[in-house]
Amino acid sequence: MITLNHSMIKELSLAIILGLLIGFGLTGTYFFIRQNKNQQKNTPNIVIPTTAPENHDSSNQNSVSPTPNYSSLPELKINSPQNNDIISTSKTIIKGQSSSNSLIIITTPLKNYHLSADVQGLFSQEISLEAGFNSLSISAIDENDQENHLELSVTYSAAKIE
Amino acid sequence: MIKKIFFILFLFSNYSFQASAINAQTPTPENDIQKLREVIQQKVQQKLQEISGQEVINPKKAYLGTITKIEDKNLSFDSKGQKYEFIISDDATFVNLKQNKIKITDLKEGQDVLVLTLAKDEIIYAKRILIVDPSKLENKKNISLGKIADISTTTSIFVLIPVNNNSRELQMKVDSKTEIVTKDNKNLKFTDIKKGQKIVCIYTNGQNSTYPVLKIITLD
Repeated sequence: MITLNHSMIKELSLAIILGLLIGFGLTGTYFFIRQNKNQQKNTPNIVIPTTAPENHDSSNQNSVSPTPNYSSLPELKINSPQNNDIISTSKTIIKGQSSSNSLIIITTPLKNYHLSADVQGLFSQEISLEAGFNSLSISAIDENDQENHLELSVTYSAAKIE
Repeated sequence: MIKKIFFILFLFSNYSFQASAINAQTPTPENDIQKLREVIQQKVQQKLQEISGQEVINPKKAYLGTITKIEDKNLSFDSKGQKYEFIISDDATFVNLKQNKIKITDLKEGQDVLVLTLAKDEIIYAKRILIVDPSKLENKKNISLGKIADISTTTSIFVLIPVNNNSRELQMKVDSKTEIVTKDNKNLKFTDIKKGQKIVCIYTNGQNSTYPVLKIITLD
């Protein structure tokens, strides 16, 4: 039977510790290198687009601008009512979309309105209509003082059309 | 000595476990991509809903334009360069400038009319035809964003230089009906507006070179 004296125990313990430290060190280095490689693989190739105000001109929608174009018109779109609609009530709500926080100006034969679009560019305004044909003018002015404009025709008629 | 060694080993292993746990909590690019996907999906759904909402077309439409041809029940019509063909409904009504009812035979080529129509079974029926004076239906209001270049409080006249055309000077006339407000709809007086101020002006075409102002919205 082998008997271990005090110095042998010491040496054995040191050998175990050294073995463990080397083992941990090598394993750690291996995992560190592997993780770095995985991160490089998973990182998507993100291309940050240049921020430019949206252009209302549909012909330019698919074009790519290499430099920011701050002189483009702010978006202006009316969701309701549609152009040439007949409306049977003396009031209607103009709902539309423009650039974020744009100033919207609506002129009707009866009154002139102004309001601000919200952060998403949405706006809504109740307007009064004159009996018959109403030519509405809608303008949007964005934070860069760029203007866009459109005309909308609606007819207020209480006559039965069926 | 052995105790010390085991204590060092314990600390080392504890550190390793904690380091791996922190590493697991760190957001990975895959998580970001997943979030990005969800946002894009939401946006696409919103847009689809908007598009589907727009597809509901009002069958009742009114068109302002000129009669180009009228033959039996067929009406050819031009509205801002756009050509239309309508079938005059059997129960259609016709109204002249004095708001009196007239007959279909009173309608002539070249007349300016407002045609109220109803789309039914892919046919557009003219239900009501009103003879109109288009010059009275035009929106004669103009909108201009600009800076006040000069101001005369004694005559209530100011000069506006439009932002989009620096070479132009518009002489504006304010009267008692002119509405002067801030962007937040707070009422102002003419004396509150100053030279150099940025404003939006709603005005009509004047008879001379001075334009009557309907509304002023101050922006700064």
